[in-house]
Amino acid sequence: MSHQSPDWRAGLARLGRLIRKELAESLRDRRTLATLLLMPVLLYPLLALAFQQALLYSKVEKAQRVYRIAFASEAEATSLTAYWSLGRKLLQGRHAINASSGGNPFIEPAPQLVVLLATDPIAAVRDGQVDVGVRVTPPGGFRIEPGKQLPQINVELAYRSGSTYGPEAVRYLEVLTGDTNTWVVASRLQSWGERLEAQPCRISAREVTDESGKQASLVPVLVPLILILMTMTGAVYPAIDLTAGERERGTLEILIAAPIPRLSVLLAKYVAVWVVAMLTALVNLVSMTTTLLATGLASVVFGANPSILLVLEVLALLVLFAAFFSAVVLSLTSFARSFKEAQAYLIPLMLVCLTPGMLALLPDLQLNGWLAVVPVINLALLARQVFDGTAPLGGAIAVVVSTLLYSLAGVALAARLFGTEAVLSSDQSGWSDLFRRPTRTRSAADPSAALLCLALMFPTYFILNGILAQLSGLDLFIRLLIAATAQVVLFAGFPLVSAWLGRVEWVAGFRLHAARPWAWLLAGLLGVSLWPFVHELILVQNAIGLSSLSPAVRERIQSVLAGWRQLSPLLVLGVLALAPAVLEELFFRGYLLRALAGNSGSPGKAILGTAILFAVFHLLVTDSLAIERLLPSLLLGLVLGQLAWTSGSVWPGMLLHALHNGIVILLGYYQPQLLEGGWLRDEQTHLPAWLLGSAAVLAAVGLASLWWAERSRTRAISES
Amino acid sequence: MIQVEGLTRRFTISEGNDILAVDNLSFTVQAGEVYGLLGPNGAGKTTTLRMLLGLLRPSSGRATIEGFSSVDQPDEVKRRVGLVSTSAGLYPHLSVREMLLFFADLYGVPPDRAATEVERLAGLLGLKDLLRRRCITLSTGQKQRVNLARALVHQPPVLLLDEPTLGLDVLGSQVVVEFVAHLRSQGKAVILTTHRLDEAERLCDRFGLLHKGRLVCTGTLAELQASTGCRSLVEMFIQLVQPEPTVRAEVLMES
Repeated sequence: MSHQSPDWRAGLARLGRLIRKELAESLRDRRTLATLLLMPVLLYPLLALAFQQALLYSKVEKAQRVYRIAFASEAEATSLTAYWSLGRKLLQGRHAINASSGGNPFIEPAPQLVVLLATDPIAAVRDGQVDVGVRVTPPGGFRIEPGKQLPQINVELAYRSGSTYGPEAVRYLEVLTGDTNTWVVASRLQSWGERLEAQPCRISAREVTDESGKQASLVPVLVPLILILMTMTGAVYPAIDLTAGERERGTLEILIAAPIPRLSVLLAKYVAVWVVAMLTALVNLVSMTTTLLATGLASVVFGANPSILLVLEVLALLVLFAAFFSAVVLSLTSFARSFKEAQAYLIPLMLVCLTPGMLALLPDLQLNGWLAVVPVINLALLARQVFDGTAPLGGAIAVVVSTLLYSLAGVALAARLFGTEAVLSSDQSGWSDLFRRPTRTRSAADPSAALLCLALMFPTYFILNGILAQLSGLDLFIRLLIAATAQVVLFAGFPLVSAWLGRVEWVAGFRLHAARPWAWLLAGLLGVSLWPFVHELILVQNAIGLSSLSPAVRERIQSVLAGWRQLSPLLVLGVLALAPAVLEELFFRGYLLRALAGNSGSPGKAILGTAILFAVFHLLVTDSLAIERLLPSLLLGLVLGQLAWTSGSVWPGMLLHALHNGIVILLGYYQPQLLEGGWLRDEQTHLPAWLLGSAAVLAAVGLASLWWAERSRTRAISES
Repeated sequence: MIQVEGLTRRFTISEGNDILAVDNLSFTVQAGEVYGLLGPNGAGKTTTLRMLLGLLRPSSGRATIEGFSSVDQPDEVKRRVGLVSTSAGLYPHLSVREMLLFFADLYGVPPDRAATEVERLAGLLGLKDLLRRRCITLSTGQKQRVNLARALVHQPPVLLLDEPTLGLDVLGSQVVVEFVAHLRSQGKAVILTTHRLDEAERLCDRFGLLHKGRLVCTGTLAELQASTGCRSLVEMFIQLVQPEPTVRAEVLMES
């Protein structure tokens, strides 16, 4: 029979036990262990062996560089080799002065010239018998004697197109000839009494390392790709096993016959898949690093000195990558009816994920704007820029938030797909079920549907914000209209479509019930009394250094404020205070809170969750982060959530929100007048004591009444 | 305890091509009663059980268990039902004890109570020596006993047994037979679907003969014998599935 524990700790403990079961089931499977341990332990030493062979081979080649050169006559061969051997000495002398001959194949070690005689040197090249064929005009040997005129020799060096050493040998001989020519001319000038530097312009090459003294490392390029591959391969087997495997084993039906929310079942599976993906990637990384250290290849990959910071960065990214790919893989496999089908889904996924992963390695792509919310690309970019030390904080937070939301959406999607009627009775069709509207109406949206809606809204919000920032050339009025339309699409359009798809009742699903007079009164009280504390809170945060808005952004805000003052205050209020208040309440406290709280008696977690998401949405200001807005938005979200819950309606919250926004906007709008009249000093100073005092009284009355209303509401319910 | 009224389920194969899997089914099962839902393959037995449990939505009609609707309060219904089905498997890498405790957890049984219940059921179904074994190592009969224990671990008042003896040998079947007798003595309401008509005759208090989704006759064995003129369930069954079954069914219904 039913044994429901009211304690959330018991719920958490149960989730822990569910996760433990999924992990036990997964980790005791030999196939999981094989991908987890055997593959990486064997793969990397083998790869390193191959790599080392290649490296060794290239070194051997360097040591034994030999060019075969064909001449038509012995006289030509003697004259030219003498000329070149002088060039060789000059070249080595030149680089001994520069002391940076390492790596130059023409100097250390010097190539060996093998001289051959052929009746037709060009034909010998064509037949591939030699690397270079020499034709001298006029034919025959030549000498350079002091006091005599210098000879005029044309030397044609022929090489076969497409040959490995031909072009290289020709370049070498050109260098030697050039050096000797210069020396000969210079010494001839000197003998005429001319003081002349043999090389008026001297070139030398130097290898440069970056400021930290690190050698360039392959980490920013290699690690993101390795992380994508490893976490994905790590997630694949357990994900299939824990989803499609349930159906194949015949445990799916008895599992969904149990009275447990599918979301918790899938959450447990997700955590298990995530752990296995993490373990796989960790074992891979450890095996790879050990192999690299053991074979002395570490410096090639990691640069001169890999730091603890690098290890921590890799681990943090690993958590994020595994979180994302586990969710993606799980949502895909949860729909599959068999192992085979699941594998068929996963191969395209691998390709789809690797391509953007590769794209993100292009040095021109940077983690900003809309790229920060494009799945996979944002992860790979973040990884690359973290290792480069160039990752922007705002972009990084956008990546983390969007990735976590995508993962949440993936799990929610998996929960919707896993064990649906379609999966249970295979005669039914597939993915279209997701978009098929249910036959019965429901009073609140399904939490997974609301989370899916939110996951789609976040990147859209981010992109719309970016587009709006690009439109700075347009007329302010037009921009305000576009901003208002964007808000309507985002906060009303998305939830309305989601509600229609889920056949959610409009009034109940969005909490559009009429509110009692006391709720309106409370909303009014709190609406006019909370803003001073938000202002003070921001000042306090600024004082302790918790401010992320750069002076440039502040300046931009000031110029935007100046622009507003050209427009009617009513228009500004409508677009910037009223519209966001109505629309955000409709979504956050209407659709989302209603869906997350469901019909439960204790909405605490749902109110907190909604407030956090509300705050995250307010964190991003176009392309920068307003950290100081996080805490005020969170607190405001809590009050708004509690008000919506207690009053049972979303309308009073809209009033509170609109009043709060409106006052802040009007203060900005009339800032010059207020400053002039001595009402305000500047925005960085505290508000006058009388204002804070009266606001505190009003806010205290408001909050106390809210608390009292909630208490009497719960009492009334428990009595009935 | 179990009430089914006008339960109907239609599957859409393709546009405009529907199959009526269950057609206007109505019956009730009381506490301490074993109801045999009998019929050939494809008669709609499993679909009916799934609708009862809230796993499948009925196209029309309703099913309630202890007053809770399988559509509107599926969790309340699920809490009150233990399901044993032919296709039910076990988690191969969990031990028998872990498997049973896991399901107790899914049904919200507190851990200490679950541990005692697992011991009790292990004693009842002869699983004491198997509790530490991984499920993958069990024989078919042993697996079925674990499944029976699993269905009872949350002490449900209603049991749905979907072909519980399929693929079992004589000894295995005997365990199931004794199990059902035990359930009746405990006052559980049981619905049993089976092909083994001899077994059904021994086990069930009342029967519903299902054919092509329709309940063609229902009653105790004596009532069925009186109304059809057949002596055994087997005879009735053969009459039912012979050619032109709809005509026969109508004859049966009229009688």
